[in-house]
Amino acid sequence: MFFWDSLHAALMMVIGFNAELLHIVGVSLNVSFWSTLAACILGVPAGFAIGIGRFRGRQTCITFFNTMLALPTVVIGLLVYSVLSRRGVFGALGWLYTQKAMIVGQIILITPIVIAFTIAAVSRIDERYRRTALTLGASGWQSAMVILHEARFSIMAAVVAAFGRVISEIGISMMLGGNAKGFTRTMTTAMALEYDKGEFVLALALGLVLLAISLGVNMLLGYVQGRTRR
Amino acid sequence: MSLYDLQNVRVSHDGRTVLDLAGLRIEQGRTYALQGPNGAGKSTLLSILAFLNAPHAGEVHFEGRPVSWNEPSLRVLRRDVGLVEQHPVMFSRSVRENVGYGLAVRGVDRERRAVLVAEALELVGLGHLAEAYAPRLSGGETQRVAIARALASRPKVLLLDEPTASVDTQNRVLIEQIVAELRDRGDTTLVLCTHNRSQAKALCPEFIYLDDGKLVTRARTNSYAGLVTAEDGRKWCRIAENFRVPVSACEAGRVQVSIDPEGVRLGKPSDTGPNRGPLSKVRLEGDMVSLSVELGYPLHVQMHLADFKAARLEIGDMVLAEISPEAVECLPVR
Repeated sequence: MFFWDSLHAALMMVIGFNAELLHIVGVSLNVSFWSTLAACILGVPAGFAIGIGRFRGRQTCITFFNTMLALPTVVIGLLVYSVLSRRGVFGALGWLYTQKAMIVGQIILITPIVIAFTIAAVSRIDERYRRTALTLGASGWQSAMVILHEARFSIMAAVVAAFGRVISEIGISMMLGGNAKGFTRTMTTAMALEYDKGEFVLALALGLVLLAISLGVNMLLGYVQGRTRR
Repeated sequence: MSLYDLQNVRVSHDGRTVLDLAGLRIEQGRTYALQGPNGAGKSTLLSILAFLNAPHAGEVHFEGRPVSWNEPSLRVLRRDVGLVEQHPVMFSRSVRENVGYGLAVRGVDRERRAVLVAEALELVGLGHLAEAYAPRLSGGETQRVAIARALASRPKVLLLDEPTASVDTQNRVLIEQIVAELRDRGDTTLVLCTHNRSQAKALCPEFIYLDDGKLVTRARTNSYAGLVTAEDGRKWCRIAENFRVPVSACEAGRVQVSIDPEGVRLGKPSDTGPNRGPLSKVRLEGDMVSLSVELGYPLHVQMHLADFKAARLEIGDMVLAEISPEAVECLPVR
């Protein structure tokens, strides 16, 4: 009964557009959006260059980014904390316990995901696409664009995976954001807090929103793929 | 004028020479069949002719000018060449966009592009599929769209790498008709790589044979030194103890003979007599089968796959090589 009562109350909270809930969701989406955008700007070109490039040390690069996939969020949190704390190199910026610090930490977390998945996506594209483009008179840049076009759905999937990782992470948000109500409280940190307090309604409501966001993003990706593939 | 002139071109991979051409000329407007067994260097040669890979040694001239293998000049040269691969890939766009790709990267305006794309699709008989999603086409349609895509930008040379090897009969006939039409127009130089000898004979007046990376005459794989004598009221050239071939227009004495691999029939051996030996090698090459019979020297034989299946031959079987005099050519001793 306890679960169903909590679920009912959580649903009412979601349907009623509870102000606190909306604010927390807004912070989460804001932080996740900017960190994902920055990771894409950095990661997609880097992954693409490594994926299509043939240079000495390429395999080392791939191994490095694959290893970075397993980087624990608390390690990133500690690292960024040491840099942004008052005694740190960038302490003067005053970013610690702000959304900016969370975004920096999350960029470090998901950029390797975007890079590694983009490398995998590009490497899977048949060499004949590049050859065909070249034989049809394309320049190196134009043939690279053909590969990018063919790999677009896998790269989009990489971005979705990165977004999913960042919106559901807790360690960085907690360590660098501080879970300050109204400022840096995200869905995951709020859920952890509510759990500690023994209050399940808001936690459950946030869980429902988190699932709905993940579902929505994946449905959007599926829709775009379906439309383009006809 | 020679369109291509290759001199001392050599390509090696992992220490093995895969292509070694002392000289090869391809004339403008002609149609060539490029033939040879698997691993003979045909695809390597096509890559060089398409300016995709540079040879490790030697010189290539195109339209009388030496090719410098740097990317900016290769990009210009590649625009004169169309390559249709054995298994072409379609960009994940419409057929119209695929065929128009080469024109788009050349900066041809939209209206002109539409006209040229329509012409190219009409040539291959696929005008009705212009808006179809290209990756969903059947194998034969894909091959025809690939030909249209290569032709849309009006290349000087069209290189076709086994375009009918993996298509059904209907599409094979259609592709052969396209090649014949292009050959008859004479404004595009064609190089058709095919294992199908009857197709090559029907479509191509010129032949380029490769074997083990080298340019060879067609019968070079069966070239032997022998002694011409008269036996049983006929002239024979004896090559080995168990290997003799009938010759007609040969003077007695030492000669060099070559035997057309397609002019040899394999039958059941009699108990005695020459040209009996075990089948030592069988290799499938498209719709043909290449075989070797051990007669003291290996005798290479080519036969159609259907004939091979009907004969039920297996490696190790004793066979009788029946060689027709028309398949034998006497060459002067070098």
